Amino acid sequence: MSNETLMPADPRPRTTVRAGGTSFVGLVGVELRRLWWRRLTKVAIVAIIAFVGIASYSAYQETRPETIAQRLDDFKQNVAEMKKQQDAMSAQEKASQLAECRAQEQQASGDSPVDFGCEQMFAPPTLQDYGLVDTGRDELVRAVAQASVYVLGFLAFLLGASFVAAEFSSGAMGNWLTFAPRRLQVAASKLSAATLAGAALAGLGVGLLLLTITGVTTINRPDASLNLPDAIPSSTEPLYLSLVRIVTVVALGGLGGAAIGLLLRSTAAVVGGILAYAVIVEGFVASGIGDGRYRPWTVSLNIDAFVQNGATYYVTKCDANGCQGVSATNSFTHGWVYLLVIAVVGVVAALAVFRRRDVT
Amino acid sequence: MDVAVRTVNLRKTYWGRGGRRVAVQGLSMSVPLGGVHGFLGPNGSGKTTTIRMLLGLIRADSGTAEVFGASVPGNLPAVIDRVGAIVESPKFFPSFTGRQNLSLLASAIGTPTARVDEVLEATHLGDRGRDRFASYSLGMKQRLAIASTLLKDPDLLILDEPTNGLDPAGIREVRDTMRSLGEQGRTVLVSSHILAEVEHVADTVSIIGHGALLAEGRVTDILGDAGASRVSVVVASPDRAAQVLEDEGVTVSRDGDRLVVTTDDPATITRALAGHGLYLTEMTPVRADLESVFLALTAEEGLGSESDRAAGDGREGAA
Repeated sequence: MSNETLMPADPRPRTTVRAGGTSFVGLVGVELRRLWWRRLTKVAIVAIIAFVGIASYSAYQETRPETIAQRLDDFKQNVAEMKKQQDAMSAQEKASQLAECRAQEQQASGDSPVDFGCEQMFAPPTLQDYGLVDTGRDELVRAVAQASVYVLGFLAFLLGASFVAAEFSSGAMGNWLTFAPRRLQVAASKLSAATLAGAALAGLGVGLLLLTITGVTTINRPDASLNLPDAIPSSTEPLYLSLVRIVTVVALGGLGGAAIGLLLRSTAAVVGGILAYAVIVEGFVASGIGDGRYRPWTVSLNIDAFVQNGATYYVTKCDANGCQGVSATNSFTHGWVYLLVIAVVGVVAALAVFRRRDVT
Repeated sequence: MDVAVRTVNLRKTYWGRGGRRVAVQGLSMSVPLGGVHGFLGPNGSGKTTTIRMLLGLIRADSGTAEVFGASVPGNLPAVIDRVGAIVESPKFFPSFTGRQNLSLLASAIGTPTARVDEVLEATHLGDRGRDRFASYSLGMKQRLAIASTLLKDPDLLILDEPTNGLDPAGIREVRDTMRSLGEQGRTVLVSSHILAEVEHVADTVSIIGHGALLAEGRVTDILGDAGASRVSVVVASPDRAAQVLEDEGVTVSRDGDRLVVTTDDPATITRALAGHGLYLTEMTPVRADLESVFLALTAEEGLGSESDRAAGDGREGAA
């Protein structure tokens, strides 16, 4: 090193430094740039590409003509076997089984009627019962995308959490605040960037799925001579609406990760907390306590309710004759209101804590 | 006096597993506008805590702090573009390059990214700018931190132990930089445990202990009259010379073959001795150094360990 001073004064007028720092939008841009530079972001992108590849290959295998032909053979054999069994039963035996089914159905019905499908007990199975349907592109994309929401959401959550927590663990947060001291603006910019990154990840995943599943359905178009019935749509809403909901949930995953990262300041603590939640609440409390009656208040069921336009869960109902699982539904409205409340509470808590917290 | 930084009855308490610890208690200090101001105190005396409060990183329990007249942390955004700071060790994203780290900071204050290359070059990191921060030596990290403060072209530079990890040439560069910035009319607030370093560059100092101010003012004033008026004299006939000087009314003591003379006017010595045919072979001022003043002040307060006093090393912990 030379014997001179490190730095002469900046000869340019001070206007080159924006008084009060850059704008909020500018800060979000800086945060997005930092996110893009992170290795974990690249890892997440590679993971999404790999996941889409695996999911698409799985869809390809499920819908390829050879697979359909095999399942059709299985179906025909099963139908023949069932017919043989039913022919062997007397009319009295059939009536007895039907009566037993109806009795159980009546017992299970409390405030709301329950359908055990007793009338179809002896009806021949259908192609749909065996999944032998002509799944159109939209339906297949919807199904695969809905199944992907947890993977995409977790990646976005992890990215958001580590994005913020790394600033605390490296000590860079303190340095950052000496350049951008408006705490609320700083926190909001980080939350916004994590949300946008989550949306971008979801967009990438969904976009790739659209492309690859379109390819799969084009390659595996069912033979018209099979006369496969059209799949019953799992949803009546347009595909884009389903995909927008998936992107929204994944974006909320990024937001949630960043908010919890601001609160806990450690990626390990965030991951540990999430695992603890998954085991204790989603696993133990939701299923083991209260016969499933707390399920409507778990995050997963509300994500399902929002993404799938309503989600079914089971509550165990018991009486003198024993216990039975009864299905119930979490509505779409329940889902989005729940997620909105969680998001608002998380953001407000993160902003409030970060605003007052000592940064060392 | 115009001040760059002022604190009044600043107080900060930490609560931890060990219970309550008062890091700063009623600290009132002023840093004059322009020049280099040393901020001294034993380990754990509250220097870094005070700096953090000035930068809005931690909140004071009570008291007020001002930077360029703006109360902080409330009005810090209004003046932050005039303040550059390094608090404790340099802290950047380890997996990013030095250039990337500076680029993010430059964007936060709306500075053109061309300035990033300038400050990297100026801190002799131009050829390492594209290397990851984690691969830097401690000295390089420190230089990157200094480079980051220069992005703003600050009027006030707050440096907390800025020469830690630097080699002698690096220490000299930082010292020269501080001096240069001070001479340009900027204000440099530097906390350091290397007292000689501060003494060489500081115009004024604040000495704190137990989170409270012990002494403050110009370095020459802090060193006191003793330093300014004591002179060491070497002369061929010290006994005779001592008698002559005592006859002149000045206080003389022996230090081996040397005479230590206390006088406001050293010319008295040469005049009186020459008048009696005694000629000096050496005359040097005996200056109290900042370290001795610092140790005296902190010893009075019962502060600092022996090792702290002897070596003056180590860093302030959480405080």
